[in-house]
Amino acid sequence: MDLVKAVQGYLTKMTSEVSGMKVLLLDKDTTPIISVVVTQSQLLAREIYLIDRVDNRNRERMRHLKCIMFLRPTPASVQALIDELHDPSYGDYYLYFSNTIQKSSIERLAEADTHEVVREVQEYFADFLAVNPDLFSLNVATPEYPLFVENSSSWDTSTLARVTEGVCSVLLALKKKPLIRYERNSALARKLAAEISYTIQNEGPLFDFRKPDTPPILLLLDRRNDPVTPLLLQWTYQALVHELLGITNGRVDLSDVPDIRPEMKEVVLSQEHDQFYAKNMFLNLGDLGANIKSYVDDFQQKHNSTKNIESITDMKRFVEEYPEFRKLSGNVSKHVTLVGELTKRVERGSLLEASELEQSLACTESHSSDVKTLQRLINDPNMSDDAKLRLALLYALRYEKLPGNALSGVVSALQSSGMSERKLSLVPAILQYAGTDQRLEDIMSNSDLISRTKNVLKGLKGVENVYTQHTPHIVSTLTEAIKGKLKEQNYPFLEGSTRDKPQDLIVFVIGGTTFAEAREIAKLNASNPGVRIVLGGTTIHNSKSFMREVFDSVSLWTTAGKDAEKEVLSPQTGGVQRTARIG
Amino acid sequence: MRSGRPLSAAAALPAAPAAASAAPRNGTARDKGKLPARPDDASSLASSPGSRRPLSIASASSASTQHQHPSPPTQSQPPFGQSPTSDLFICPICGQPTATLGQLNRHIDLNHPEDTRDPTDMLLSWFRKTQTKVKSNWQKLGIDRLADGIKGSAQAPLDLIKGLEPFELNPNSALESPGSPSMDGVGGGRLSFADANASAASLGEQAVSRAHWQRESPDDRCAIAGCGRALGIIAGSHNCRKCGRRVCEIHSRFQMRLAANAQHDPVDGVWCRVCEACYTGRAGYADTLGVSRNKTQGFLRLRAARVDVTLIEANKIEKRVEKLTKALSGESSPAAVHRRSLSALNPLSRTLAAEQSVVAWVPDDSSNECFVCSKQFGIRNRRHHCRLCGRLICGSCSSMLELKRQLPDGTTDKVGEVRMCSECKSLISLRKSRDMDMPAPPIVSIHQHIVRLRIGALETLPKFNALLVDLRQRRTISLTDQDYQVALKLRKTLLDVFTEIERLGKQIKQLPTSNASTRRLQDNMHLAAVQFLQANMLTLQLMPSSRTEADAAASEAAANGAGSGAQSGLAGLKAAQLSFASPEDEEKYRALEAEVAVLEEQMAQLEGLLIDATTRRRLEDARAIDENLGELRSAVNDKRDLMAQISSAGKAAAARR
Repeated sequence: MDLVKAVQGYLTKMTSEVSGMKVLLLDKDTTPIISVVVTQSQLLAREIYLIDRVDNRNRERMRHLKCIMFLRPTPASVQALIDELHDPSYGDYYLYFSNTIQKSSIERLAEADTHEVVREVQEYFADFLAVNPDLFSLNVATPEYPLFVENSSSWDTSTLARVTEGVCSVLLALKKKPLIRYERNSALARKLAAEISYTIQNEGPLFDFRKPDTPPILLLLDRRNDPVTPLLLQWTYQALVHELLGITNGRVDLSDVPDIRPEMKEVVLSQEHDQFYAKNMFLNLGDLGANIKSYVDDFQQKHNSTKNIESITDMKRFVEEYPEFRKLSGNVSKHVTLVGELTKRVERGSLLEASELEQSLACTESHSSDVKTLQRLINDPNMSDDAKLRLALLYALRYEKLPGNALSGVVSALQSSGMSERKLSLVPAILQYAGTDQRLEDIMSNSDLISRTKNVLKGLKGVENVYTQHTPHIVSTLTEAIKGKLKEQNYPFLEGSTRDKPQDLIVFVIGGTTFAEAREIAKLNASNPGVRIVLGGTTIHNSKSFMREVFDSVSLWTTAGKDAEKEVLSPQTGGVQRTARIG
Repeated sequence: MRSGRPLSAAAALPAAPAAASAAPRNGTARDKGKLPARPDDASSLASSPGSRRPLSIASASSASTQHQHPSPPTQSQPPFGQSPTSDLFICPICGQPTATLGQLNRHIDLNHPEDTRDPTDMLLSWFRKTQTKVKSNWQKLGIDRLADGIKGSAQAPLDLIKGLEPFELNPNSALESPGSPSMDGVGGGRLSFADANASAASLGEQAVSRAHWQRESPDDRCAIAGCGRALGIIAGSHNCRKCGRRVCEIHSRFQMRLAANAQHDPVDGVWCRVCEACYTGRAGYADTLGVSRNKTQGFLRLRAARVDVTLIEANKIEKRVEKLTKALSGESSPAAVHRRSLSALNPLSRTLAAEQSVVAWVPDDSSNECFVCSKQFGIRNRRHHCRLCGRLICGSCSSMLELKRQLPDGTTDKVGEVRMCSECKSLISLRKSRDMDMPAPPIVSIHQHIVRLRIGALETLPKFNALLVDLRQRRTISLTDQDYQVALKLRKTLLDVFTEIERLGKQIKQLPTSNASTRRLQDNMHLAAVQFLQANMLTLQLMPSSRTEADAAASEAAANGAGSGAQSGLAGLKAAQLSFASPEDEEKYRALEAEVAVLEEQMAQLEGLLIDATTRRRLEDARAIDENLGELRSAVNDKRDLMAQISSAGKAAAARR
């Protein structure tokens, strides 16, 4: 159940079966899949001396190279491959596809391979981005892949196909044939469950695994049941970097940082190849500060020791430590730059204050003081529009049902602070997307007296830290699931059922997951050694990308007709018509 | 320091850990950053977002403060409600009691003015606060294992057990009636688990053999590797139902299905409590290689069917090319020409006729578009005929084929050019690429050479490393020691191999090339060679340390008696050719010689690093290395001078004798 190892395993198999000088050709989908799990030097060690895109037409003819192709079998990639085979640049071709390739595509390839250069055609199911060992993303997000068409309960056909393939490839890479559970209120989850189940049945021989003690569980969740987590500022390293700087396919773009050194314009964050990051990715900025300090001290000590080499022993120590030292020097400046930049942005945007209010809005019911603080922060010139908008959205979500809430007042305050109409339209949009009526469980603990009381009791226990009070909703769901006590009423099985505690649990969030949730999964994995959990999502959100997704989705529904009917999925539709839209 | 600015920004952070431990751990300390914000308003303090309190009753604020920040049990914090100072406000910084909140705030304002609302300070104080809290919190959850990056380490903290929920087996529905109370017995908590276990809890488990269980003995320890905790009331004590070994609570919180003979049986087995080793040791548990599906056979079948057709086509085209060549070189049968004798006068139409004699052209009006790209023909886009298949084609989809005649003397002679379509072209190129394999460029043979060297190095290296480890464990090493000699020899071989790889890598880099991707290929191959060296040359550097031992041995030997014939090794051999003025001189000379050897070794390594640093444009490093090299060089020269002095003195003494 280690996603990174699974993709690396595929890659090793691909590259080690062929000896000689090799070139690796990828397409636009597989490039990030490979680049998050492997470094260039690892590829070089496997005699892969060139890496290129299959759709780059200006490749030069080098018949003495063997070509390994790892492609997603999309029409575009298959066409590029056919063009290549018509006029091959390299000696031999070894074709690997990241998912099931259609028979017709194979026929076309066979027809195109008149030079008889293809040696191998295989399907290796690494069709997902292995971000952490227990976190994957499908990189499926608006605008390229809109989730919906017309209304909130119908999948976009091509996105559904893409997501089904992606989740199935995770199952195949991990060798799991799961029982599928989904969130009852989510039509999307229900439909996806049916599609996955159909694929599993259809590809019977592929999913023929060793019988497990208890079947693994695939749990399909919907982002719309927890809109709060992606809106909050999270203080752990990985999450904060993603929120303030953005992590794209394991890389952070720092080019807009003033006076940045050229080699720091884009830095790689990899748990696999950066020990400091692996140790600290789930720590909050506070602990991180201390660790960075000792890291720097360590480095300085080593650096100084190279400066004053007086005796032979000094010299020898230097020579022995030199390679490590060199690796360290690049890494130290990377993390120092990152943390420095994070600290700067936190200060500049008054993000501590914002975070305090965010947490209060997410966790407790205290309308009068929240409104007061919100009004004050909206008028704070330091705070960015996005931060204000986030607060307004959280306010809307928390006090949606409170009679006499000041939502219109908040909106007009935002308006007078100069926020664009487009951004303001998100306030009603988020309620339409994931308001109280859309959600399955009472994540705000304010719907009835019992949950209110629970919330107050929880508050009595005290909070650890005002900035980290909030726990993502997924934690309570998974804690129940680990105990084998997840309610069937809310999380029904698609077919079959079990009361066993799951030993392998694959969680997939339609509409995107977050690094905050990934951290919780890592914590759960560490504290429950008897169960292995991996988390995935259509994408990995920060607040910005989440707001864009909400905006894009809701504007799709409204353009398709304001009163999109809520359609109830009949049990027969799922699975049979693979590509038909619901309704 | 490489980066001044960002570093200093972060260097400001680190005050955190020290300051956090120095500051009083009193619960209220965590609020000190917040207190001065609203100096005189006690009630607003309660609702201030920084110290969000569930109870907004002012009188309870002190109590609730404690409640809110539970202090670690180790500190002598008065229990809730019984605090002797519950009606006083204690300054979190200096501990001075004040009567009211207002006074406390004034006190803080006056005596501790550094608590400003400066955002940097707030950030820092937040860092401090979270630091202590989060750490303890993580320990509580046992997550510090995660922080250490050793997931699943066997040494789980003891207090992890306290927070554990009772372990519960899955229902063994196959063997029990649904209403059976079996599971309820387990709820009794940790201590009673062992009893519950043996009794009603596991009707299913009873079906599994216990003959192989390890007997209980007074000082049992957990059998999981790396744990070894003493079993008993605190750590728990269980028998793994599968392997029978006795393990602690933490390492037995796993379950799997076992058959009656206690072997794993995922289908018909009953749920049993097992140890971590058995759980993770199940077949397929640690499997990391995913499913793959090989479609090669199907592909090859499809291709074989297709290729035969293509080959026939290609042969046909080939024949036509031959005919065309003949026709255009005038060797064609006169009959063919004579048939069109009328137009034979015009050379252009003669060519046309010759061409058309090979393949019949389709009529011009048979199609209005190019058969490859389907573009309409017109004034701009003229129609052409492919001379090999006769079909209509546009200019951009066609190209010219040079026709060459083989002359008797082996050379070729160009007889003309004809237009052909892209399809025919690909068929022709197909023939060509099959007929003649391009000679492999030099880079291929160099690469093969490197690969052979690499394999050799990787075979030798483990042997050398094993020897090294062995040698380094010994206290003294004599230079004649067989192992040491072997190690030296291996080291020499390896060094030669590495030097050769480096040379070849450079050679690849310097191969002439005209285009970008070949350049990139060569650069990458060079980089790969460098990386290989970096990854594998490390242990060679460890050899000097055994030399220091040798050094020690040499000086030891020297101390045993000057001129003793038992002197061994290189030093001894060299020394035999020299004579010394006095035993002390000889001793000194030998010591110097050993030092010089070490220094020269260091210099050689540094030179390697220097080259590497320069090629990788790490100029700063290179400068540092260069300086060190200079120092070393002068040290070596000094020692050489000394040695020369000693030996000349020795010679002079010998001459006198």
